[in-house]
Parts: sequence; C-alpha cells; structure tokens
Amino acid sequence: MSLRPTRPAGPLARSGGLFTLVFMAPFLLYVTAFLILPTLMLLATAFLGKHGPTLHYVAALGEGQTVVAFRNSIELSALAALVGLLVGGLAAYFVLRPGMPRGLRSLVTTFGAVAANFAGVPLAFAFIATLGSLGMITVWFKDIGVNLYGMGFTLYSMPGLVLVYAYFQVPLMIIVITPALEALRREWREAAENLGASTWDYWRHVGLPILLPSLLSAYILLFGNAFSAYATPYALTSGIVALVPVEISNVLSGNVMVSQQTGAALALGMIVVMVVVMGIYALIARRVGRWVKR
Amino acid sequence: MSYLQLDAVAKHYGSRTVLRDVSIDLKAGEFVSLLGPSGCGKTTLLRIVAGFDQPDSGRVVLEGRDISGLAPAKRQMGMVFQAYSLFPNMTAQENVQFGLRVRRQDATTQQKRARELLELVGLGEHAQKYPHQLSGGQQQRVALARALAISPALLLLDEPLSALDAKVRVQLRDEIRRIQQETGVTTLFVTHDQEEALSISDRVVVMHDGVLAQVGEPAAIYGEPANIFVARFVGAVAELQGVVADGSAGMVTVLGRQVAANRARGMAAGTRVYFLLRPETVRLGPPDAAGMLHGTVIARTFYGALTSLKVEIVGGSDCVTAAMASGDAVNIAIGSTVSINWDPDSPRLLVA
Repeated sequence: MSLRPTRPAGPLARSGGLFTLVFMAPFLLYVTAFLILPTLMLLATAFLGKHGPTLHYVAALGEGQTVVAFRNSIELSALAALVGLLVGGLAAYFVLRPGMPRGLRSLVTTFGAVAANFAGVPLAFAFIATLGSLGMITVWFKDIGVNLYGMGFTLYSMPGLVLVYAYFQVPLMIIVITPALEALRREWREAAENLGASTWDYWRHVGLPILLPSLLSAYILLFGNAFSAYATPYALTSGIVALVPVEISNVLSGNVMVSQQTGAALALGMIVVMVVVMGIYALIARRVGRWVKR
Repeated sequence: MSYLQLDAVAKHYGSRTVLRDVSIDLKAGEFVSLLGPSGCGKTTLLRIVAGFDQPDSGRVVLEGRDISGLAPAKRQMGMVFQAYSLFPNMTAQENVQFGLRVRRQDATTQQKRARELLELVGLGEHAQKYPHQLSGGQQQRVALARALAISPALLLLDEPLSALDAKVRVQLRDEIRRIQQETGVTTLFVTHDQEEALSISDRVVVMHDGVLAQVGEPAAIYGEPANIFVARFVGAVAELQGVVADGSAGMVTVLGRQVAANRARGMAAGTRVYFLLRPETVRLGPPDAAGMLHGTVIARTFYGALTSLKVEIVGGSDCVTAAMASGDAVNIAIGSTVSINWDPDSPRLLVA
C-alpha cells in the first residue's frame, strides 16, 4: 500500500483544472497571436529574400547607419533608464518618508500615473513649446541673460531626448518602486540602528540589498520602455538622431526605400538586444536575490 | 545605585497623554517586565529607553549617565522586536554578526561570536539559513542572538513571543529566561500576557493608562494587587461588593452574610470594600449551614489537570470561580447547589 500523498481527485480537482483552462486559454491565445506568431513572422521575413533564404538583411545590421542606430538606442535607453531610476527612486523615497504630508503621496501617485502615460507627439510638442529654440522657458532664460542654446544645449539631441524621456520615465519609476519602498519594514531600520549602524550602514548592508532585485527589475522596465519609444523621438528630432524604432519606420513607410525584410531584421535585432539585457538581468538577479523566497 | 533609572518620563502625542511621570529603577542583572493592556504606554516606554522615541520630559539614566538625548545607535542596547525584524537578505549567522560588522570588528571575531550565540540559542546547525527558511520561533531565537552579540548594556524585548503559537511561546519564554540568567544581562521585557510576565520576571511593572499601577515581584502582583485594576488584569478573580462588619473580628458582610476575611482586621466598620477571591482559594463542598456562601454551579471549563467551575451565588447574580483538580470536579454536576468556602487569609480586600 502506498503512503504517498495523492493529488485530490474528483469533481473539485476537475473543476479547478477547468477553471485554469478557461482563464488561461484566452491569455495563451493572445500571447500566441500577438507575440509568438509575429516574432516567428519577423524571423521568417528577416531571413527570406525574393529568391529564398538569405542572410543579407540580418548581415546588414552590422552596417554603418544601423550600427549607429542601435548604439544610439542602447545608449539613450540605458541613460534614460538610469535617470528615471535615480530621480524617480529618490523622489519616491522622499515622498514616502515619515512625516511627509499625507496628501503629497496621493498627489505624486496621481501625477505619476498620468505622466507615465503621457508620451508621443503631445509630449514632444509640449517640450518644443517650453524648451525648444523658441520655447517659453528658453525665452525666459534668454531674458535673464542665460542663452541655453548658445551654451550648447539643444532639445533635438541625445541629451534633449534624455530630458524628454525623463518626463515619463521618472513617474513610471515612482509608480513601480513605491510598493518595494513601502515593503521596507521599520523594524529592519530600527534593528540596524539599535545594533549601532549608521544610516549609511543601514542602506549599504540592508536597505539597498533588499531593494536591489526591485531596482533591477525597474531598470529593465525603464530600459525597455525607452528602447521601444518611437513617436516621441520621431516627432522631436525628425530623424536627426538615428534610433532603431525610427529606422524601422523609415524602411517600412519611408519615402526613400521600402523594405519589409530590413524592417524585420531591425526588429529582430531589437528583440535580441532585449533578450541579452534580460539574460544579464536574470544572472545578476539570481546573484543579488539569493535570499528571496522562491 | 540603580542600573537603569527612568525618572518621571512623560510622553504626549498631540492632546493624548501616553506616559505620565513614569519612574522605574532596574538593578543590574534584573529581569523586569512591563505588563499592561494595549495602549497603556508600555511599548512607548520601551522605545524611549531604546532611543527611538524622545520623552517630552523626564530622564533615562543608565549606570549613572543621562542618555535621554543619545541616538539609539550609541546606547549599546540589544532589542528583539515583535516579529519579522531579521534582515531577510542575510543568513542567520550574518544577522547575528551585523552589530559586530558595523562596529568594524574583525571577521574572525564576528564569526566566532555569532557561532557561540547561535549555539546558545540552539541554532548552531541553522547558521547558513535565510530567515524565510526558519520557523517563527527560530527567527526570534536568531533575533535574540543578534541582540546579545553586541554584549548589550540592556536587553529590550518588545513582545517577542506574541506572533508565535502557544507551544513555541512557552518554550521560547523559558529559553529567554535561561539565556538571560546565563548571560546576566539586565532585561526589560514588554508583554500584554500576564502569564508570560509572571513566569519569567524578577519584577513586574503593571501599567495602566500611562501610569504605573503596581511594581513588585510576580507573587506580590498576583497575591497582593494594589488596586482593582491590577486585581482584574492579573489573573482571574471573583469580585464581590462587601462592607466591613467587624474590624476587630475580621468579618465582612457579603451578599447579606457575614463572612471571614482576616485582612478586614483593623479596618473601620462600615468601610465599603472589593472582596476579591482567586479561583484556587475557593473550596466547593456539599451545602451545609457552615458554608460561608452558597451557590449553584452554572458552568464547567476543563483545562486538563484543572477544571474551573463557575458558581452563581445565592442571593445575587454575582459569581465566583473555583479551580479544582479535574478528578474532584467531575463529582460536582452542573446545576448542583454547593457551599463556597475559603481560608480567612485568602480574600484580598481593596477599599472601594
């Protein structure tokens, strides 16, 4: 006779399985239709020319303009994610500090939810209207003797894009990191303090290591958010700064050339970059999150 | 000289007074419990001693030195919190080492001390486990080892057993007392559990509404409550209204009958008193004329070795509870009439 515990059988278990299927099936269908199939189609398109299989389009990813676009996209995304991480993380930390007005938190959260989703052409226009060469703030600065554009600043450049991206990256960071900051227990801080730790000791040994998995996840989210942004840089720079999403748009609907295969190869390159980034994340997360209950 | 002296400590939150001029002295090596219901101010007092809260007035003096304004990190006190205070990103050993690590002690000393303390709390084999891999009781043992690692001048325990199940709570309670006696560390223990406080402490401080209701040894707190709050809060007690009938003979009128209570001796006749009987001092027997009071058994609660019988007294709606050996209690049926007796030295009288 076996004494091993057995799985519950009978109607309850069967209905549980049915429920899982009912709720999971639409999701799996959705993922298949809009993620797996498009990826496979991209893969096929990128490797198929007029005369059959070819490496031509994928090999072209290593050429001048494309390399610049990938480099720009990765640098911009990495920097914009870092700015979002630091500024948003610190903002969330200060908003959640004990003693801050209660209304401030809901104000920041509400603003964050709106601002994190305010991107694209309206955002580009808003920045052109304020920090463009004839923007309101630029003119005000000029009136008090500070010529931003004379000092080398321009909105239509990589630093300009980082500034614009910060508008939606910072609020997004505030939204995603707030639960992690709230989960830092007061007892941890007090226990550390009680044992003789300074504020720096606490953050170095306790606070930051506990937050690190959340910070890494947030960074990946911000990186992906910036990496895939299209409308904002397109409306702002009109292609002055080469970025992969803008390049894809150019080859799919541009006036100069139309090549679905090149677009597919570029998109495939973006997927590879994200997979590599997530692979690095997984390696680091495993190392820094050894203590996390799995 | 006192080892720790709390001198007229007061604390207010807005218009609410949490502590009113609380003064307590602790001797070196003493284990003192702060006992009281939720909101009585005991945790606030502990946090003031730890330095997490500042008193509005009064002083905290440790070994003759006023530390009221000193930061918690500089007080050299080890504290065990209610629960979940271990750093989740560190193993049990790393948690215990933490206080030594921030004091920049060398790694060998840290490891040696951590191992010693983990052995002391019986967790030597769990040194490399993370908190989530330990049970609640084990986590609190690690927290205790961590607090002791810095050789604290004072050990502060903030309801460390409250989140544990009953059996583990009793085991760990005894462990805490054993370790405290082995290490000799002066300890201030906060609890709302009277049994915990009475069983573990050298002295108990009962608090009520921000003031000290009574300070004394556990037996005195239980047997000689200084006021009706302590009598009601610590242990079960039957509370009857009485009037001293004859102060020289030690007789009190309770529910129309004159009953013996030696503590009435010397009290003026006519003095209104609370007539208090602990369950273990009440004896039930067959109804007879010699019985001090009579009543009807209305409820029975089985506790294993002991059974408590609730008796409604004839002549009123008041009840007394008798705690008896379960073997004797089975002979007394619910609904039966019984005589209620006690030793004349047993009743505690408090002027109403």
